[in-house]
Amino acid sequence: MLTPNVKFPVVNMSRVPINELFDEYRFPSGWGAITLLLYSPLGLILVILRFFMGFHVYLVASILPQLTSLRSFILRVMSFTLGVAVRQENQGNRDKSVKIIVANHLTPFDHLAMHLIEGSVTPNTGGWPTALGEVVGVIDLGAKQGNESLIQNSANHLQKPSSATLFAQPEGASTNGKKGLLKFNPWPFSLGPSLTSVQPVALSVWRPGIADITPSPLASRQWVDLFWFLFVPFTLFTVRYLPCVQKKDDESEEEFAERVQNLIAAALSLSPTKYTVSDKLEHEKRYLIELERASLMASQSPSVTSIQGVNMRNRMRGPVPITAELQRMAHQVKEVLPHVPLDAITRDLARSRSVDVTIANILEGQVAFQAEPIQTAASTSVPLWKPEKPFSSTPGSSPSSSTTSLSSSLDTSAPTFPKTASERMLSFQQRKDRLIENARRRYIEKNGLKIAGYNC
Amino acid sequence: MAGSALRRLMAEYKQLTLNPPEGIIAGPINEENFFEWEALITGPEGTCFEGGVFPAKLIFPPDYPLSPPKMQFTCEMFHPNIYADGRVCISILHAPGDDPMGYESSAERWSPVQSVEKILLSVISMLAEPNDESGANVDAAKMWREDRIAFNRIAERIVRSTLGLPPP
Repeated sequence: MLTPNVKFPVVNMSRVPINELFDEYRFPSGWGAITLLLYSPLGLILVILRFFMGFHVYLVASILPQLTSLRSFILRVMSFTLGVAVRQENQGNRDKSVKIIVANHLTPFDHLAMHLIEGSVTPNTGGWPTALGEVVGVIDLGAKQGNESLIQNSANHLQKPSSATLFAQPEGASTNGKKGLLKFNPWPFSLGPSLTSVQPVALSVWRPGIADITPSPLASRQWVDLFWFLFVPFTLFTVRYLPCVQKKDDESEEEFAERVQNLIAAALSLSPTKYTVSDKLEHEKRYLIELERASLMASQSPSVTSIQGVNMRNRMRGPVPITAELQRMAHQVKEVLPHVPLDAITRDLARSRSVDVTIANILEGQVAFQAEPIQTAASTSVPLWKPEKPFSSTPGSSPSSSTTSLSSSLDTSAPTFPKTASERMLSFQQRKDRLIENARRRYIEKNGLKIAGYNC
Repeated sequence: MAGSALRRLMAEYKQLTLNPPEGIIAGPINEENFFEWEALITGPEGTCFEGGVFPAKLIFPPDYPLSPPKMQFTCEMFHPNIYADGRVCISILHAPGDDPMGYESSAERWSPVQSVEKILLSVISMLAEPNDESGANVDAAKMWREDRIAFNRIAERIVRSTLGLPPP
């Protein structure tokens, strides 16, 4: 079946890592970013113009009757002004009798391109508003109620005489179109015995290098994608028709779906993968969590010299939901102060929203709690933490209990805790010198020494 | 782990800077290495070490406060519980079960509830009341027991040297 000169990358399917199927970044880097920056004023003007033009296109599309070549022509011209251009290739392969078009999925607006050239309709899976959807070729085929209702409604739709061609994207979610295709859902291949032929289409999308913006990066929203559609000079969809394929008698729907997936993948030099929509959603979720974590880590790295600054930043950030995040912070505090019960830590964290502030609060005795026994100190009786005077020793053993009138000279405290390491080190040095100097003076006074240079 | 040790040390440093017990100062020698501190403690009044300001080095383990720091005087010391090289032998610097001197006293042991401040205050108490059963410095312990006058003379010399004063 396979000849050596046919490029058919049906190799090891698991070889493509899932993250390579999607682009994480919308914007180009390097020179691309510079040209994009230069282009952006024009792009913003285009967005505004096209936004208002969109209303007119919408009106025209609503007024003109479906499936006329005049409507198709006018819409294509107007869509081009909106930045959507469609080019067709291998039109000889298009069999008008085949009512099901199957294509790969690149952007949330692929069906619009198909609608412009074919007048096709697509089931509403992307949450289009009904009124807007019908104009751009989106109809409600009960996709939300599951595959069965989608298959039933699609079959019913196609049974009607002179019904619009059905455009199906069985991947269920977009990819970057660079590495591989998601697994095909067999629904468009299961529409009954009279509808066993499908028209495979290899879609590709291109934007000019001056504004090479990824049409639909990972975890992006439809309306954000729309904004960038209006922003770029234009987006060119290339629709390449592949020869129609018919389901074989001994073939199951799944096998048929896989065969079409392989065909489209081969036409685009992509790998057909086994990843499904839910794999993409899972990957997306993980990606978002990692992004969030990365930004949190960046704002909480324990840099000694900037702890004060971090506190400020943490305080200025929005409220932290009582979630895993708060628990994670509580455990960080617990590592520092293992004898403090978690609930006391969490209570203060909910207020302070900062690991460092909470540690300071506890050490300064602003948090009341009963100390927990610690494993390494389990045998000894752990004293009750004294919140009113943290880190103080028992009064009897303290030398400060026998202070004299000269005591103030041995005070080593600083009025403030400087914010930078160098200031702190300077203050530390000065206070050490002062302590020694004062102790020396006191010793001389007390012992009545007569030493040159030290007597007042 | 080191990150949490760092937070705790920073918090203790702040506490000791703003609110130190009288005659005590402690902090990192150089903040490039937050795990090595210098401390100055003043000899308690009414004892032979009265008036001296004794410098010491504190080395913190990466898992502080789970493990205790090590403390070593950097000046000459003559005391039953201080080794000739300046290392301090005191129960608060040992975790329970860790009993290098072969006696398990009821005195305070290291636990994360303790702190640098408590260590320094305990060391001051130790200067005032040596434990002559623990022989970190046998000569000193013997002299403390048998010839207090000679001991006090040595102590006074050390006190003066820490203050940069000539011996009596």
